Parts: sequence; structure tokens; C-alpha cells
Amino acid sequence: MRAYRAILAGINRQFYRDRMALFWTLAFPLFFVFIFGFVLGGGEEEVQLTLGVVAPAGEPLAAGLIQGLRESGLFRVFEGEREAELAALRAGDRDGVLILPPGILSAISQGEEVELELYYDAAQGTTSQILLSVVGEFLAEAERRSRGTPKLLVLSPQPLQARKFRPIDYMLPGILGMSLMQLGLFSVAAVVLQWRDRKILRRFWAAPMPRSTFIAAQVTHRVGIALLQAGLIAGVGVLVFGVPMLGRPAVMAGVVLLGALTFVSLGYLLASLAPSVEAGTALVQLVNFPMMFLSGVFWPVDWMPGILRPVVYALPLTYLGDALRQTMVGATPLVPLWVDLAVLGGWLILSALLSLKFFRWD
Amino acid sequence: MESAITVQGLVKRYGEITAVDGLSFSVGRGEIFGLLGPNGAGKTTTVECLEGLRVADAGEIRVLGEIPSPTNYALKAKLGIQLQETAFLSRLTVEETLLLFGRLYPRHRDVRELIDLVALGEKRRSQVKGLSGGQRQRLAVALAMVNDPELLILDEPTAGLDPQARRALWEVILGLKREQKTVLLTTHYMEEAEYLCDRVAILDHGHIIALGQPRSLVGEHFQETPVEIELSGPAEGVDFSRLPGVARAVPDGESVVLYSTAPTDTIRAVSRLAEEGKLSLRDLVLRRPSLEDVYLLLTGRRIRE
Ligand SMILES: Nc1ncnc2c1ncn2[C@@H]1O[C@H](COP(=O)(O)OP(=O)(O)O)[C@@H](O)[C@H]1O
Ligand SMILES: [Mg+2]
Repeated sequence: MRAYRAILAGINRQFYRDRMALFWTLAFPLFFVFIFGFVLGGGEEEVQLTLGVVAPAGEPLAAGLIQGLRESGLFRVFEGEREAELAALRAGDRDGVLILPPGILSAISQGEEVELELYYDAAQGTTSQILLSVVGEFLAEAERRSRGTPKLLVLSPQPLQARKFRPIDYMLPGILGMSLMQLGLFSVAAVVLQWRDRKILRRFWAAPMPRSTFIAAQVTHRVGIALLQAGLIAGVGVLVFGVPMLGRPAVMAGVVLLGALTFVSLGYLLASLAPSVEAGTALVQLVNFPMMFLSGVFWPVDWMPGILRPVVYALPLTYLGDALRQTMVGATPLVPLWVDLAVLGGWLILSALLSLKFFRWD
Repeated sequence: MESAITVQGLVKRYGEITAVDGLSFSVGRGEIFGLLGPNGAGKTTTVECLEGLRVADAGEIRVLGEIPSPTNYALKAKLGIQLQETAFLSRLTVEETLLLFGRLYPRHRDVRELIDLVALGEKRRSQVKGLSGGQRQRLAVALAMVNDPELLILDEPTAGLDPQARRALWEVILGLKREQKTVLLTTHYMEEAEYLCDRVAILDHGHIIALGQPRSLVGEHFQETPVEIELSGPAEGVDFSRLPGVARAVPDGESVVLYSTAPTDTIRAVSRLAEEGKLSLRDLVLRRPSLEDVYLLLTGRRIRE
């Protein structure tokens, strides 16, 4: 334990005294966030509001209302079942869902008030305000026209947790996943290979300490940096670009930690397998490239041609990205969260065992 | 007394190359033992087998009663190791580096004292990357002492040091002997081996070609005195071995070393030849025989170069 702490302290110092490395490690992923954040911006809000309408069958007034909503040009109107429409709202595909109860016509002809539930996304403040007032106005106008006595149709606002995705919201967890991967692959492999090449590792080898102690200290150091980096990326996402963080902090941190461990171990494995610094660099690139472009960091994996799907579903970054998107911004899961975690865990165990086996001091 | 190190028939191959070919020797406790030989003789390979960093292909090794292996941590804890090729975390200071490695061992010496011992006091708080080659070398030797080991294995401890620093380090090593430590060191400096070592093994191409106390090795091979003459041109028709007093003549590039039982007669004969124009003499030196001569005699080559 004393040896572990001593090595950890030593490599931490070595790292933070290297200002250039420190800067690049922490700042580089932030450049990505800023570039995507500013270029894509929040994405243009759609001018037309999308409205789901749930209407009871055989209700004459409902058909008329829907017709009116369509013709107003204010909305893109979708009709559907209650559950399906609410799910679409949660997934961010609707700005609001209007529920028409049965028996509207008979109720208002008897002068009774009718409550229309309007579900909307609580997180979309401005859009929801517009939606509520536009739908309210529309109903009032419709009533005025038909009966001249308004105020029997009452809107009942129903806030819902749902997300309407802007590109940056989708991208941020992906960038986070990618930077965890690259931190693992590049930094770990580069440092281990360099230290081996410069015979720094040999000196540790001469000391009475199992390799696992040394590796544990190195991994702790790198995972610490990964967590710091993840915090920075998430912080910039939230504070600068208003990306909402919906998940429980402990769950999000857990996913980040698992991802960091997995890729640090993978970096170790590549370093252990590579015979030289040059070979190691090539190997890392060979692994980095497909992951960067096939794992859904920059675009969803279902855009990928079918022929590439097996590769996509083999890459650990696919699962880390998916897990982060699910837990952070509540994106539609590619696979259930437990599958993401299980696949990452599998990669972690496999690469940790193999790198312990193949690790070489010189 | 029990030996600190015993080696029986050590063999180590790298593919086609047999770097160490059947080495046997032992080092007594409290002894300073030198492995002497030119680059590529197999010194580093030998000591790394003793340290457990390399696995021998054949042979029996006992170091402090243990069989060395990469995972024999009990043995590693008792060894002080200075590797020939090594580097440290470049942004740690001298003091931090020694403390870091000190903490990898069950116990460690006072770090400041150690820094003073290798005369790095001024550099105590300097980062390793700012040290000169010689200062790094001294740090490497200090690291070998950090765990207060019973046995030190130093691989070319004075390589790259200027003469003054080399002398200072010799005194440090002799100090270890006074503390009853055992030291195994490698070197290709003859005068270093002669000054420091109780016994030396001279290595050539993975074989021990001579083993013993430096003085007696020299005495064993030489009743003669070496007369080294440097020529500035060819000396055709001169048979040096037939000059008066000369027992053996060993050509060595532009020089010839004449091992003479009657050096004054030999020198007189050489100057006569020079006067007669049969050879052109650039320099003539009369020396005491040394390990260098033993090596030259046994291999026909000089140890340096
Ligand atoms: N890792 C290695 N791989 C292949 N050959 C090696 C290796 N290390 C040393 N050798 C060869 O083994 C021989 C002995 O080398 P070494 O033990 O380093 O000698 P010394 O320390 O006396 O200079 C040399 O011919 C050297 O080239
Ligand atoms: Mg050597």
C-alpha cells in the first residue's frame, strides 16, 4: 500500500508539472465541445410546433378541432393513441400532446366546463409557454366562432419530463465518451511505451514490488484525470451550452468511471502488446479510428450501413456513448443500460487480465 | 564464510548470440568484486541474471542464499541495484526520486544524508531533467543505496563521470566496504578495478579469461616490464621479440608492447634501431604492468575502444 501510494504520488507530480501535457489533456476535448457547441449551436428551434392529439373515437367535435388545428398552420399535427403520443413527447418528438376527453359536445351544449389536458416538456421553458398560449388562443377562438360564448373549454397544462434534442445535447455525451477513450488509448499507451523505451520502467522493475502495484497506481492516476476531464466537459456543456443533466449524479459518475477504467485497461493492453513506441502508436490509431467514427459519437449508429453494424456493435465506445447519452440527457437507448454496462464490464475484465499477462517492463 | 553470490555455469543466449557462456565465480561477503571487460563482453547480462531481471538459460545462481527471479521480492528487497541503462521520472526532484524509491522498500536510509554522500546537495530540489549526465549517474548510485542493502550490484557506476567525480564515487564505494557491504561492480576501466576491487573476473566474449586479485593476476602473468613503443612508420625487418630482454612482443595498432625482463637493455636496443633508421620512433613509455596488460596479453586486444 505504501509502494502504491508512493508511485501514485510520483506519477501525479510528474503529470501536473508537465504543463503542456496537462493543458492538452484537459483542454483538447473542450475544444471539441466548443467547436460543436458553436457551429451547431443549440440548433434552430422549429418554427412550427409539433402537436400530438389524442381524440376519442366517434366524437364529432374532435374531428372538427383537429381539422381546425391543422388548417391554422400553427402546428404540425399528429393523431394517435395516448400512450404512443406521450412516449413521442418524452422522446422529444412532440412539443406537446393535447388530450380530448370523450363527450365534449354534450358537455359544452349543457354549458359544462370541459378540461383538455395539454402535456408538454417541462424542460423546454420557452417552447412550452408558446405552446400553451397558442393552443389556448386557438381553443378560445374556435369557441368564439362556433358559439360566441367562450371559456367552457379549459386547458389543463400537464408538464412532463421529456427532451427535445438539439445536436449539442446528443453530441456532448459522445464527446465525453470519445475523450475517455482517447485518454485511455493515447495517454496511457504513450506513457507506458515511452517509459519502457526510456528504461524508466526497468528501475521500478528492480524494486521489490509486483507489477500489479505499479499498474494499479498508473490506472488510478489516469482514471483520476479522466474523472477530472469528464467533470470539465460536463460542466462546460451545462454552463455554456445549457445541456441538461437529467440523470442521477451517482449513476452518471459510475458510468464515467466504468468507461474510464475500460479504456485505460485497453490502453495498457495495447502498450503491453506493442513491441516498440512506433508500433504502439500505430496500434492505438488502428483502434482509435473505427471507434471514433463508428461508435455513434458524431452521428447515430442507425445511420451506419448494415454491413458495418457487426463492427459497430462490437466496439466498446458504442456502449459507453449509449450509456452516457441515456443517463445524462435521457436519450432513447440503443440497448438497455444494463447491456451497456455488461459489455463495458466485459471489455474491462478482458483487457485488464490480458494486460496483466502481457505487461513487460522492457 | 558463506558467499554472497555463487554462479555455476551461467549461460545466457539472445537468439543466435551467446552473451554469457558458462560463467562460474563466487563473491564473498564484504568483498568488492569486479567484472571487467570491454563492451559486449557480457557484464550487463551477467549482473541482470543475478538481479533476477533476466532468466538464465542454464547454470546455478545463488544470491544471498536465494534463487533470483523476477518475482523474488524478498531478494530484491535486500539488493541495491544500479542499472546500466535507466532513467527516472524527469519532473521529480532528486529528493523526491530517492524518497519515492525508498518507499518501495521495507526500510530506507535517510535521504538527505544519501544526497550529501553522492555530492548532490546543491541539486536536492532540482528536477531530474535538469541534471547533467554525471549527476544522473550519481543519483542512480544513490538509488542503489537507498534501501541500505546488504549487497550492491553496480553496472558501470562511474561511466560518464569526469575524473574528479569518479574518484569521489570510488571513495563512496570504499565507504560501503567499511560498512561490511558486499559490492559487485562492472567496469571497463582497468585502473578502477585495480583501485577498488578485492578480486576481479576479466570477461571476454562471455567467458572468464582471468580471475583473482588484481595484483596477483598481474604478477601471475608478468615477471616482465612492459615497454610500449609508438611508431610513426612501418618497421620492416625488425623482429621485436628477438631484442635483448624481450620475452614477448605484442603489436597493437601503431604501437608495439615489448614485455621485457631487462627493460634498460631493451630500451637501448630500440634507440639504436631508431638511430640506424630501421624504425621511426614517436614515443616510448616504460610502465608498471597492469590489468590492461593482462587483458592485452590474453586477447591480443586492448580493453577500451
Ligand atoms: N536484449 C538483448 N538482445 C539481444 N542481444 C543482446 C541483448 N542484450 C545484450 N545483447 C548482446 O549480448 C552481448 C553482451 O552484452 P552485454 O551483456 O550488454 O555486455 P556488456 O555489459 O559487457 O557490454 C552483446 O553482444 C550484446 O549485443
Ligand atoms: Mg554493460
